[in-house]
Formats: sequence, C-alpha cells, structure tokens
Amino acid sequence: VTDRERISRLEALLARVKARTDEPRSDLPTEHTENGEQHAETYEEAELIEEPTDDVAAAAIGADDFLESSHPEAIGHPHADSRFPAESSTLQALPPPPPNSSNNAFVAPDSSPIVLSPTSPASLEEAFEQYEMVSEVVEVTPDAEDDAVRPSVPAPIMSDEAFAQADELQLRVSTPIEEFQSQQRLVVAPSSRPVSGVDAGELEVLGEADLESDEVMDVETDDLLSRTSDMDVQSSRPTRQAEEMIATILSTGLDAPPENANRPVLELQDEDEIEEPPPSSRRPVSHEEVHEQELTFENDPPPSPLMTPPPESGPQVALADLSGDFDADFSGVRKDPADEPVVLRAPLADNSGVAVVVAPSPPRAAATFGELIDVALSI
Amino acid sequence: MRVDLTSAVRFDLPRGAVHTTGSGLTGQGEERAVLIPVAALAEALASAPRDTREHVARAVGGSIGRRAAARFGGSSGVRDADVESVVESLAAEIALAGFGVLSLERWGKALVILLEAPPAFDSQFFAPLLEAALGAATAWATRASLTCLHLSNDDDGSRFLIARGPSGEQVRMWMNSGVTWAEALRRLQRDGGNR
Repeated sequence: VTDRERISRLEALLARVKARTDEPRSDLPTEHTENGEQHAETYEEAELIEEPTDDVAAAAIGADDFLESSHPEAIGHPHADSRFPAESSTLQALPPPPPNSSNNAFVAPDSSPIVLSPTSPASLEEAFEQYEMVSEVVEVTPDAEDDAVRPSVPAPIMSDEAFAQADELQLRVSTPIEEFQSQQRLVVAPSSRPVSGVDAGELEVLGEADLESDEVMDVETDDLLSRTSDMDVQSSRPTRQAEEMIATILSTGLDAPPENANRPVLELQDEDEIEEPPPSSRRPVSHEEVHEQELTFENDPPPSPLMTPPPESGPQVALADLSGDFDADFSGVRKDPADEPVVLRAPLADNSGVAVVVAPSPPRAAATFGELIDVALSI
Repeated sequence: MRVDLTSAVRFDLPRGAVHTTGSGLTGQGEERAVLIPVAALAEALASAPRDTREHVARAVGGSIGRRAAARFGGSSGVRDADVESVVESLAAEIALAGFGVLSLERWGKALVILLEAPPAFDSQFFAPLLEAALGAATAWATRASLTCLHLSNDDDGSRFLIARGPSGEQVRMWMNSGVTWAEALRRLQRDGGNR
C-alpha cells in the first residue's frame, strides 16, 4: 500500500466522518459504515458470527485496524488512547472465548465481527503484508514504554471483570493498559451507578442500551487519528497533509486531545538525593502566624513556640535565725557622749505667790432681790 | 429659806379635779389645773398664732410669779427679800409646773436667767413666760418696761436676758447683725443701753 492510497483512504474516511457528523444522530448503534467497516455489534449478532481463523483474523487486522494497532510512536500520541472505548464495548458484547482456543497473540478476537464484514481486505496477501507491518509495530518493549512520555491517565472506573478483559486485550495486542484511555468505560457504566457492583452481564446490557452513535463516531475518529500518526512515522512527506486532516477533524468538534496529553510527567527526586543545607544557612525554627480565620475545628492549633525550659529548681537554703541578736532599738548609728549637752534646770515647782492677777472689781453683791433688779435694769 | 411645797398640788379623784395651792398675793384660793401632755400642748402652740402663744405664755408665767410672790407676802416682800430666796421660790414654781430648772446668772450688771431641761416647746414661748413671772412677782411692770430676750440654746440650757425695753432691743439688733450674745452683753455694759 502506498502513501497515496493511504492518503486517499484517509480522505475518504474524513469525508465519511464529516458526512456522519452532519447526519442526525440516532439512538441505535451503527452497525456498518460505507466502507464496510463494522465497529459496533450487538451481542446477538456477534453470536451468529463464526469464530474466525488466525489468518483471516490477521487479515482483518491488516485490512481495517492495522493502523490503530499500537506501536511505539503511537503510545505518546494523545489520540491513541481514545481507541480503547470501541474495542472495549465490543469486548463486553462478545461472549468469553473458549478455553481451548489457540488464537494468535496478535489476533484480536473482539474484532471478529469485523472479519466477516463485506468490506474485508481484497486479498490475503495484502492482509498478510499488513499483518507483518502490524507485527512490527505492535511489538513494544516495556523499556520503551517507560522511556516514552505518557499522557496522564485518569483513574479507571470499571469493574474487576472489565479490568480483566482489558488486561486480556492488552496481552493480545502487547499494548500497555496505560495507553487506553477509559472514556468508553465511563460511557458504558453510568456515572451515578456504583461501578464496583456491576457484573459482566450487566455490563452487556449497559453496552447495548447506552451505546450511541456518538461513541461510534468517536471510535472512528480515533482510528483515523491513529492512522495519521502511523503515517507520520513511515513517511515524512505526507505529514503536512495528515496534520491538515487532523486540524479538519478537530474543527468538526469531535474529541479534542486533552490539554495535558503531551505534558511530561514530573519525576520527583528521592528524599535521599536531596542534599541537606549547610549549617550556616539554617535558620532558627519559627512558626508562622496563624490567623483566627484559619483556625477551625478540623485544623489543629499551631504548636507552641519553642522555648528554653525553665531552670531546674533545687532545694532552697533556709536563712539563719536572726531573731536572737536582733535589737529593735538599734538604728545603726551610735551616739558619741561628747555630742549630748548637760542641761541644768532650776526648781520652780512652787510658783503660787509669784504672780498677782489684777482685775476689775466685781459688781457689788445685791443685798435684796429688788436691788439686783435695779442694777440689772440700770444698763 | 427653803420652799415648802407640801400640798402644792391636790388631786381630788372623786371629783376628778386637780388643784394647785393658791398664791397669797392674788388672794385666790386653790386653782384648778389640768394635766395636758407636752406633745399636745406643743402642737397646739405651734399651730396657734404668735399673739396667742405669747398670751398663753404670759398667763402661765403670771400665775407662776404670783404663786412665788405669795410666799413673800406680795411683790414688796419679793423686792425686800434676798436674791437666793426669791430665786428659790421662782425655781420651785417653775419646776412644779414642769417647765424645767431655773437659775440666775450675772454677767457684769446684766441679769441672765438659765432654764435647764425645758420641755420641747419653742424658745420664744419661754421668754414671755419668764417676763410675766418676774413682772408678776416684783410688780416691775408698774415702774418701767421689762424685757426678757432669748439669747441662746446651749447644751446646759436656754439663756434669757432680763433688761429694760430699749437695752433689750439693742441686744437684739446686735445679735441679728451676727454678734454673739456674749459680745452683745459686753457691748451693752460698755456702751450702755441708753444711747
């Protein structure tokens, strides 16, 4: 297959995508496309299909899905992760494979409905050629996965059985599970329902009932993106055309790559590798001031500031008893006998006759009461 | 002389009457009296007009003076009697009526009556009472005007000045101007009341 053919296919696919985008969406899942590709099958239809042989299955992969197979360059592509939902929905719709089946590791049993579709590859040689190409691309070593920059993968919301099936698919295509973004998982299992309690049978019903045409559209778009990324690896000339097609697809409003898809994963250094600052650059321990608004019932109060412990208290020595020698009258100043004078006083105890008081003569005593009244009324 | 107060008051219980010994000066015999509580008399005097109070007081004092003078045979006997005997007779009649203990003080020439432990009457009530008692005992009112002026109410009692009318009025003016009663008496003796 030349690059021109691939480009022509991609253009046809792009035209088909646009046509499908313009078409009104229906609740029933789309079974066949114009090119004969079959991406979503109901469980009843899948049961009627015979189990494909290894060669036919490989041819199917090479015919339709060889570009969507995993390869080292596609691991880091952001759109490569969106391939998982369609495969996951098909996987859940199909019954488990027989235990004695000896399928090739590269055979995707989930894509068996695609094998017997009317639009299978034209010849087995082309299919084998594509099979070889896919085999070369799919073989991914774990070391190469670790070195590649991986997009951030949200936590999977699936049951254990779904995980087991996803792991099985991973083994078959030799693709790490981290590459498959779990968008389809979110679509299959309703978000309001706890996924942990969902069994495989319930997942089938959910896949049938909740699978809409939009999901199929997403799958097709992802396939196209995967093919374009693969084309970039094999040939550098059609890269610009592929980029234009990708831009066209993105302009149609389909799935956009996550913003942090190409963001490298930050790797933290181990604690042992962090060098300890020199003692000269160390600062004393200090606590940040915590405001009252930050103190809630959930937050513990800040620890008390570090303080030096109080000095140890030892036995106190009692003072000596000074009451015996203490003199209350002693002021500390001693008198000098030469400073006190000698006083000589005269004895003046008997002074009755020293002074004589001269006063006006008292009024003459009235002899009678009439005389007293006359004197009193004389003034 | 000692005042003999024997049978000074006679209680005639079958007739329900109280009698006081009559004074010889007036020639009247026994005088009927009533026992009136001090509070009731004080309330009656407080509610009565000033002229009524003075009239009652002069009536009571005249009665006391006449009884005291009766012991001396009249006002002439009082004037001829010694001072102590007259004071004893007056004090006895005042005490018998229940108006306190009477004594005389001489501040120079000024004559002051000290009434100790008087009943709770207005001091203005005792001035006309004492004036009437002295006037009735000595019959001084017939010779000149005699004035009894309230000086002070001290711890030891109430003091009243016995003076002539104009001298008494001068002392009243001095005391109203803020002069103490002692200074007023000094001024009265220094300057005299005949200005």
